[in-house]
Amino acid sequence: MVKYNFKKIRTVPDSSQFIDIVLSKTQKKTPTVIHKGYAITRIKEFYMRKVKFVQQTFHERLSMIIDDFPVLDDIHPFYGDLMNILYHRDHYKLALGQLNTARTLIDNLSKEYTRMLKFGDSLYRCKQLKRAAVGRMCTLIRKHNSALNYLEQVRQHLSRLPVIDPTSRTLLVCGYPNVGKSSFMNKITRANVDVQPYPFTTKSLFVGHFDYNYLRWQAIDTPGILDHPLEERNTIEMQSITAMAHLKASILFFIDISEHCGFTIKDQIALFKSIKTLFTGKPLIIVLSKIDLLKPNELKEKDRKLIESLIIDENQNQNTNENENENEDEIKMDVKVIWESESGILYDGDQIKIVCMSSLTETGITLVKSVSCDLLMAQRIETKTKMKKMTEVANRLHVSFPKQRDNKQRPPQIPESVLNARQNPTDDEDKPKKILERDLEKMFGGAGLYNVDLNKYFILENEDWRYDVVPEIIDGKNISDFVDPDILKRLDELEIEEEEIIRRLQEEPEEQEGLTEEQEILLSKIREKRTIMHNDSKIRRRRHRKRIPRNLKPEKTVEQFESHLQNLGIENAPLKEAKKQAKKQTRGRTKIRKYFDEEPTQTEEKEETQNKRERSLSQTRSKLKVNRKSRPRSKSLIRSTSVTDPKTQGVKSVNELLKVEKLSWNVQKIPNKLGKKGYADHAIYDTKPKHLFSGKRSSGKTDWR
Amino acid sequence: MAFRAQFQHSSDIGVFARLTNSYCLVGLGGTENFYSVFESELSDHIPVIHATIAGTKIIGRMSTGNKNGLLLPSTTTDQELQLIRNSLPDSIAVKRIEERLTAFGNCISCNDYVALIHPELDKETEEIIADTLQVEVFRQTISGEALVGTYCVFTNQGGMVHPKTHIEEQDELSSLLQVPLVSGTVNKGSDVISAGLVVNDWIAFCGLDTTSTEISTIENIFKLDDSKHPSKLVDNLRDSIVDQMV
Repeated sequence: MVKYNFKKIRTVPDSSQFIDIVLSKTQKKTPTVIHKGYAITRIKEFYMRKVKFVQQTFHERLSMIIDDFPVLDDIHPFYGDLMNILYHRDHYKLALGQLNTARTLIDNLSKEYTRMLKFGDSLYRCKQLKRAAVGRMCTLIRKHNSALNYLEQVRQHLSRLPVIDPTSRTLLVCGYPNVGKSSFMNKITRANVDVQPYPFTTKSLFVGHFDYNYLRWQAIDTPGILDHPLEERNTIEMQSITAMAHLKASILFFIDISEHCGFTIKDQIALFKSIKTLFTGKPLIIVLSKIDLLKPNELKEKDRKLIESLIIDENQNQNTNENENENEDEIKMDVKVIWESESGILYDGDQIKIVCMSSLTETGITLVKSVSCDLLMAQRIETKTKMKKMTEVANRLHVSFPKQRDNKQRPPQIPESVLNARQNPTDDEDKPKKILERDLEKMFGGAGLYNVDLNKYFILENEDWRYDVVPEIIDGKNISDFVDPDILKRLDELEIEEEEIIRRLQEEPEEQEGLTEEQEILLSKIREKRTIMHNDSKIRRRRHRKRIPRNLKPEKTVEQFESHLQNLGIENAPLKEAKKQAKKQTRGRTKIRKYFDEEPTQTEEKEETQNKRERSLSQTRSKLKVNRKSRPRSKSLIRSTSVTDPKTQGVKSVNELLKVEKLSWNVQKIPNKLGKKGYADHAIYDTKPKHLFSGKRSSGKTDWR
Repeated sequence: MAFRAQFQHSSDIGVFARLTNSYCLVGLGGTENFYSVFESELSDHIPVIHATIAGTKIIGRMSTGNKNGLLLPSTTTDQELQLIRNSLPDSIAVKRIEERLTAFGNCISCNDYVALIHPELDKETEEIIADTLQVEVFRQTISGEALVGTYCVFTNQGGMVHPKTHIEEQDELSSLLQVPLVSGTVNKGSDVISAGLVVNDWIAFCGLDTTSTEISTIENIFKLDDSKHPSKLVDNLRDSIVDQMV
């Protein structure tokens, strides 16, 4: 069901406020700094963004206004007509339509100007374009100031309208001005409608609620109406007419029979006749009010006739309707209005009743209420029982009574004291007031401070035990386990039972057979193999294992190769040949190696003497240490001397070299000792120091850091 | 009579109280307001006691019982059990049961003669229930819900079941329990009936949100007054139920 809540509509700003809102939002939400020197694309981007943002904000706000206001054709016709009367449908639609066109115009404007901005060639031109765009949008809104103001007024009025549920159970109170409608409202609800002794006190619809027959009802008080043609009615009267026309409610038509309201009964009957078309199909109760001033039986014959004529009219109406449908013979209705009725109901028809009441003496008020509610209820139920949804609630209306399934009696178990109290009800005032826990709590400091005395209501043999401290654990044993007096006996029983079970289990032959020794050995082997395989695969599958570089992998030696071939039973003659060949071949460098590794042979000593050239100093220190004496260079190979050890450069002798080294050691000694940083220790610990990269601006907003 | 009550701004009062024809347990809460609602109406007739179960105040959901006994879950501590035993007369058997489903209030629903239990309760538990509470026990579901304790409430005089129960099922249950039944709601349309309603043979307490139609249904079906009777229920309430529901 649609709920009508017009209080949710958000405020509509007037044009200057509107512009302020949009422009300040743009200023806050878009970048504001631009320089001439920037790339032109960037400048264009900057201004296009501004224009688009302004357009978007306008669009958003306007859509909000347009969507918030109800569409007259979509809402319940009661509200539709009420709004038409109060705010004029055309005016309302026009205002919303204007805002709608403004919205599309602004959209178009923004499109046009962003297109132009694409061709902007300087900051100045772009800026002028932006200024023009925003200016034009603002002017547009400024032109619709009146529409915005009107809508704001409508909003304020709408939010103050009474919340009427057009589909709910409703009583509608109507009649001439000053006949006692509002007084009646105040009697049955707590609406507190203003009551004054002059006509047109009530100028708009008022709603009040009351409970009847377990349900919530709404009563609507309408402004009084005069008898003149519909076209001449003013706004106040039209509100009543709308309510009467569109709400499926019980109509309570008030007639002041004392004529104290200033209008004759004749006038009031005439009004009824002129608006009775609005009441067709609705339960109608004609309420004769102010009977404290003039009783119905004191009415003049002329007035009685008038009221009776009213019923006759109504009944004839119904009859003609029925005749049209069913082609029955016309039955002359006999109207019996009992003017001296004790009950207050003067005429009791199916759809129309006459009831009298007085708000002053409060006679007949509940009668009027119950009669009208019952009539409407009957009508509502009749329509609702025909609906499909009725089957779904059928079970809610069904009380199942039990079928006797045995002869057992199952009486209710109500204590004697309750039955006695029921039979002899005592007044609350007679009984001494019981002090409840709630009262005690209040007395002793309220919730949080008061501790309930749980021991107070213990049922004990001896009163002295009430506040005894009962320990929870004694000698490491939970005393609750020993509360049962024959617990030990039962424990013994349980133990005997357990022993019995164990004995039975032991007696039964073991059905499980073990494995033979052979099988066990096999099993262990299988298990061993399986663990090995498992571990291997584990190693293989390891994701982050350390990769072994190729050159560190143990290479296969010739011996391994040989043995492998032997295992395979392959003739290895070619291999031996190859080995011989390899031994024969000598490489140039081996000569020098040999020279250093072995003692010089005789022949080499000869050569040494022949070749008395001094060995160059391009040897490492370790080598020098090992072989201090100078040696001849190899015969065949001359190594390039371009790369020399920088340490040995400019040093004349080995001793000098040693000295130099010692000196450099001494120089390094102090810094090393103090653990100071040398140039070699230079390092950049933090490539992006935080203090340089943190700030209010997020990354990408500036370009000079 | 039916009374409206609230436990610490919650209308689910059935969670915090357990009421039978011979005693009433009330959850130990922050204030005494809730306890005093029961105390003022009941303390002249039956013991009304404070209790906790396993340190919680949701005793209505954790325990079940009738005139003859009280069943507590295995999570109840020794001290809590002792407190309850001390406060109740010896004629009421208090039993702590080892059972996988500990929320007895949700799994078991009973009056002084019949009990409906969750279909998955142990065989042993079923026996204990029958012995302690002196009832006939039936394994049952209500409109497809296994939590019979949650979706139905019945006394020796009448009962209320889940609002979506079919008429046939309702009739069947009624014959089983030998009490008149109606399907209904509490707390303005809540279908967890036992959470919103605590009732015995002469008095009912329901959540503060309960509407007058619901209260009237409760008073009639549970025969809380001499003037009330289940047969009057449909006559009196048909219009208001139809107008509200359809």
